[in-house]
Amino acid sequence: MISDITLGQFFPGFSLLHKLDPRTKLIGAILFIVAIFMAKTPLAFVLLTLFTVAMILVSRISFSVILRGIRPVVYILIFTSILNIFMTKGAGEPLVAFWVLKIYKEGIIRAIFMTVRVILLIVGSSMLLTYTTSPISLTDGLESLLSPLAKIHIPVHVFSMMMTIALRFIPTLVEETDKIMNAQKSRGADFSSGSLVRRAKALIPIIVPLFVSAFKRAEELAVAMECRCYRVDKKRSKLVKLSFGARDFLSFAVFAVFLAGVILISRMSPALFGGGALARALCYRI
Amino acid sequence: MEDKKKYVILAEHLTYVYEDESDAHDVPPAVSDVSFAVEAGEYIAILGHNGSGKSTLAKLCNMILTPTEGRLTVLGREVTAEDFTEEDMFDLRADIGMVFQNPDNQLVATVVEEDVAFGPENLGLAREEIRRRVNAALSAVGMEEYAHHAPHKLSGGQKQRIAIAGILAMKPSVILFDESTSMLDPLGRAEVVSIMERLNREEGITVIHITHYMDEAARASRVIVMNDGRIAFDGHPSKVFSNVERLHALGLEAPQGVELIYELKKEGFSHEGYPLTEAECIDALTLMLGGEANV
Amino acid sequence: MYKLELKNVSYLYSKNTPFEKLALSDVNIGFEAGKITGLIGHTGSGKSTLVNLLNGLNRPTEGTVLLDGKDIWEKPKEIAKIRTEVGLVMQYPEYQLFDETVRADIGFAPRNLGLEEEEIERRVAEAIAFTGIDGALLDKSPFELSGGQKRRVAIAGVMAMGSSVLVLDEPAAGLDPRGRREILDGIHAYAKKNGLTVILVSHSMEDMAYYCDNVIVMNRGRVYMQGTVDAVFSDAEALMDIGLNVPMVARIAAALRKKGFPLEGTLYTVEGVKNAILRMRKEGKA
Repeated sequence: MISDITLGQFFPGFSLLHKLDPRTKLIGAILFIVAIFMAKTPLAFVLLTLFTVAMILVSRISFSVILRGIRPVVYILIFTSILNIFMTKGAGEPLVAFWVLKIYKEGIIRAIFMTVRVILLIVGSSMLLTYTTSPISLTDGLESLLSPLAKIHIPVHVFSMMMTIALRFIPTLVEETDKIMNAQKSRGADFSSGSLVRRAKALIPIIVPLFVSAFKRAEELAVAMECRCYRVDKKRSKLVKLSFGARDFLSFAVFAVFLAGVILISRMSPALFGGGALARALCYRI
Repeated sequence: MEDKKKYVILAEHLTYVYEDESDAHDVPPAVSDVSFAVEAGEYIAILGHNGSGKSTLAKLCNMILTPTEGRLTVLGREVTAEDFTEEDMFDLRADIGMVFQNPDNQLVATVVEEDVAFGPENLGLAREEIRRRVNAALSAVGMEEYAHHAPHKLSGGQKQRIAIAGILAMKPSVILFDESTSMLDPLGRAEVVSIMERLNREEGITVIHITHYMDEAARASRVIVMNDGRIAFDGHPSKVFSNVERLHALGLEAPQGVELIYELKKEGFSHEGYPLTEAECIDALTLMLGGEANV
Repeated sequence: MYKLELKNVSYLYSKNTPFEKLALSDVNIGFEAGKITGLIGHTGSGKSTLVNLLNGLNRPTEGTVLLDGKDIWEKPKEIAKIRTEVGLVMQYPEYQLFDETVRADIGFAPRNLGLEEEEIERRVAEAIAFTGIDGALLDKSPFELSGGQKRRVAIAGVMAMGSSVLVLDEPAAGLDPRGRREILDGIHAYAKKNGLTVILVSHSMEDMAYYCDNVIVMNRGRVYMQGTVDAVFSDAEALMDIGLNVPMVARIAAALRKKGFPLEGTLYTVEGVKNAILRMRKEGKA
């Protein structure tokens, strides 16, 4: 059933990562992403990976859950890796040459780094954001971070209200889609056979009622909100206050040091580690 | 003028016509020349078939619609006055809450307690005060343990209780229930009706309940029956429901006990008036039949 | 032989997930041909699950659903055909309206069956006659109609499919007493004229008592009681044990009998109790 899908895949818990202020996590995620793009050497990637593993351990979310999160992008990763391997032209002799296809060392390295980078990006940001932060506190965090924009008349709280309502109604509308599909199937509608045009046409009996109902819901909700004194132009107070604690400042420090570390390590020359083969490999710049 | 102050709602010759955008022909008014007064602490049921104007009447009282004609005074403020501003309207609305029909379409937030807090947040109250009100409102509807749940996972009756809590958190003196029980199953209905009654009895909140369940209306202290935009009956339920034949003609029914006694009277049994509750009906029938058995 | 039968049917929601839930367990029910059978039970008693099994929207986890003695899941690819033989009117069916005119919307199901235009026209005419839709509305958009009218159009849209079994889930929910009466009267007349087997789901004991021949009571995923309306409603205590209400007039009649009044016969409708009292008076006088 489609209604089993949960949006954003939030896993409630009480770990340090769960308890952090959403703003800390948002900024942390940005720093982490910057770090990923600043990482230029294998050593830097080792550091990034260690850091990601540490976050997973802290969150107490199982590794199998995280692997499942990567599954949807596996095909894209394979596809781009193949492109990288075959399309990258290296300086030296190709490792393999077959007909017009030539594989260079650089291509393989690039494919590996790209894959690691994407995986770290997905795992790291979902660790910090979706997995450990409820959608509502994420919205609150965003609103708070963007609140300076209100000074230049960008209606930040309106966007945040829109996002909250969207999150509230997605499960309702998913359920409704299920219901409408069942009703039309019960009237002999066929969604799964025929040409593409026919199938697209077969969606009309689902889409029209869904839109009609969504607009009706929107209208009723608007009236209900106004009856509860909601006004776009009026300042609202908040039940939940976001507040930075000691752990947030500490986490900031950790993220900052980490980012600095990644940048620094990426610039280290192999000479620092004695200049041996291993050192040269670890400090190989991509 | 002083006289008017004692009413929570005072409607004088109210008329409302929906504007028909599609074609210009005359649309009959949804509410037509309606006058009535509601005193503080009353428990009123409004009955009427679909399209009788009962929902329109509620929307007028809550200022969702503006009367086409007539004068409306809510909580001592004349809503139809020239100098009544939008600011005044929002001031009043905190005092006159409305619970709607579809429980899904009035919940805003993804967490129960944040939804209950929505009204007080709009009023700009201090955080501690909001917290106090949210807790009090949730306990008034018996939903404290669901404070951190997602609304979409609750039953219809539970959602409606959250909606009521959301209104209570604004501390209104009047609550309008616009067919709030019609989408619920019997258990959900019973829960909502008992909350309504408790709020009226214990908190002194004026309750106006629009419904087409006769058994719910029979529990109110006053019933108003709407038909074709006008008030057909207005009085104590035992009085209103005694007009069985007229009610049928208006597309309504009386509670089954009343219907039975009415039928028996037609067959020559005699009894004064119409009892409403089951126990009263049993007593009345015992008396009626006991008389027969003695013959 | 029953028209529609469930044999040892169980149904599990979200099988093999942490959300697994047994909705129906070992259910055995027979629906007699040409009879109107009421289905009662609390929300969550398994009623709605049962409804979705009857026309093949869901497949039982265990057990079989038999239509005219044949397993409806014998050829899973032909399940769409079963759905046209067992018509289903879902709760608040006005959600399913989508077409440009009332006529086209009611004709949606017969058109999906590939019927001739003439036959479609005939079926639309019959369906609107029984659901009390004014012929003048046929060329209007279904979205212009009032709530009650939409409900009628939606029911007519399933009637027009010409199924031999009709399952209706709370067809009168949310309507006023007159609308309720008219719709149920129409369904009753249509069923009796065409010899349909009808399964009527309702919370209203009054409607059950008035319109049904047989009643099935569900409780916690099992069949709690089944039999004729007389048999089920005469055991008011068993119904009240699971928190179901019996019609007010039935409770009054039961109380009168307890007081020693010899009431006999149908004691759960106003009409029935009135007649019983009149009979008693006649015999008492005689």
